Amino acid sequence: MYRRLYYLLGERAAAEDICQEAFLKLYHRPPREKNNLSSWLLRVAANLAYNHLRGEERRRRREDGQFRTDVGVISVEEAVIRNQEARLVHQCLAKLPPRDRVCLLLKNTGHSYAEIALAIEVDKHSVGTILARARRHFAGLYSELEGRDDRVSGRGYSSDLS
Amino acid sequence: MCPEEGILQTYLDGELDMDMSVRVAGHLAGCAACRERLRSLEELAVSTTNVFAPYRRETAAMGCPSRLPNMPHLPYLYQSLTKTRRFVNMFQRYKWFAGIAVSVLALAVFLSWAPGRGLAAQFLNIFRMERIQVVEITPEDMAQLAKLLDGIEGIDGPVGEVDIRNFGRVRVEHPPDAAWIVEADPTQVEELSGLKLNLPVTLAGRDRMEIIIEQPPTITFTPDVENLNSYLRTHSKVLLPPDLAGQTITFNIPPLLRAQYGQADQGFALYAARDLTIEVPQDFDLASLRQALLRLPFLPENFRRQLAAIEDWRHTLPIPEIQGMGATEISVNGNQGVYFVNEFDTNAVVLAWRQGDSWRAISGLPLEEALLAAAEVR
Repeated sequence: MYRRLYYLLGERAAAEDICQEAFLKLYHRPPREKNNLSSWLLRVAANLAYNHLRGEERRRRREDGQFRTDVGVISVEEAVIRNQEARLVHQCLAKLPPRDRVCLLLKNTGHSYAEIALAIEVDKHSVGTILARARRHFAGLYSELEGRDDRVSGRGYSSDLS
Repeated sequence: MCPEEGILQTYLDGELDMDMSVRVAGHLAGCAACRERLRSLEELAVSTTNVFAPYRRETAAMGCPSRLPNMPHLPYLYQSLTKTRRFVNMFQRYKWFAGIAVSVLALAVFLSWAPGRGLAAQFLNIFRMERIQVVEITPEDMAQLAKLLDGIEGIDGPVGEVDIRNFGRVRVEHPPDAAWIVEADPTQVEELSGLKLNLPVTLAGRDRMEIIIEQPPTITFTPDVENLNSYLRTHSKVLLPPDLAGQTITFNIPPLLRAQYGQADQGFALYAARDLTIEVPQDFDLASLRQALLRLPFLPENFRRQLAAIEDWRHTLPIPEIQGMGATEISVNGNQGVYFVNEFDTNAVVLAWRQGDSWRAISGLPLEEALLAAAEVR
């Protein structure tokens, strides 16, 4: 579950906190249906992660982006991600609105529309629209960053081909 | 009006309900612009999913911090859960793609059936589908057939006693990737599609933008006579002759030509294809197979009755009319034709008709304009 949360949040500390929170929730208000505890926990965790990201987003907007790490500066979080492409994905995800981010990530791990809708608190019928938009948004950010990254590091498609 | 992007995305993910899926599939069959939109959504899905793979690997490789309880069984449980779910998604998608395939096939097919092929005819019975007949299918029937499909595709094996896989083997052979869809210029049309047709530079006031020729797959069906019989034995008295065993029926779907006139959002498309042919070995008893298949108890009664009532069944292609498609038979240039009302745009119809030894269709024009255009592409 921690890995799942880390995947959703991209921050280890936050993933740890929310992991704890989900277990606390299980302890205080356990679900009536006991035979699928793991999926209940993951559902709760996904929703907590979404709310956390939204809170972060609000805070960041209040602070008016003063402390935002600019592109090109590798954050501590990213430093532990060794793979170049994974780091790019991490950077792009950080720029996505929380709803798009969680929708995209949950879909990529095979979650159904119903589950995604629960986590990001929207109607099931809007998931398709959000997903398509989120993907396009992400793809735009990715190709933009990829181009920049190629120039900075001198690593482009040519090295991939060799 | 075309379905909005969210609907197409939901359709792509196999998350639309049955009724809506059928309607979208029907629309896609007649709307090139939406097929293009669907294709680009799918491309986007594939590319973003691929890009995510390293990120997933990295986050999964991250060890659990020590201050957390380590619960190794949870991730495992989760993994198997998602794996299963992805399987289900795949099947759902497959099912709806099968839906599109059927619609496109219906189009390609009721665009089809050509004169016998000389030498081959000496070895094979070739049935040319020269007629079409609209067969109504109700939402209840669809639901019944869908349940059957669920039975086939259920991940835990077949649900219930019916398992179509046991009834025979279906093989779909696609042409090589590069040859699948080609853009042709008017001089290549006959060579690539075997069609002789007049493609005016302008039609219904719109310029010809492109000509695309699609090479469809060849589908073969080899019935499993033993299994079919053991199933039929419990349900009806009509059995298949044992010498059908090992014999194969081949569906030859002709190349499909699509000429786009005008821009995708205001234009229309003209389709043309030769006749679809079904090849069966000379001594293959197609009548018995048909009889037996029609008696399969899981076929919706209403559907069965209509299929059984088709007199010239060797040369008639049943076109399922799904509720909302509004298929109506009509005479075009003095030939048999049919038109469908487009669910999302009542101004535009899909008009298909037989011309010479091939089928033609126009999609995206109002009926009157389509009929006028049809007279020009004789």
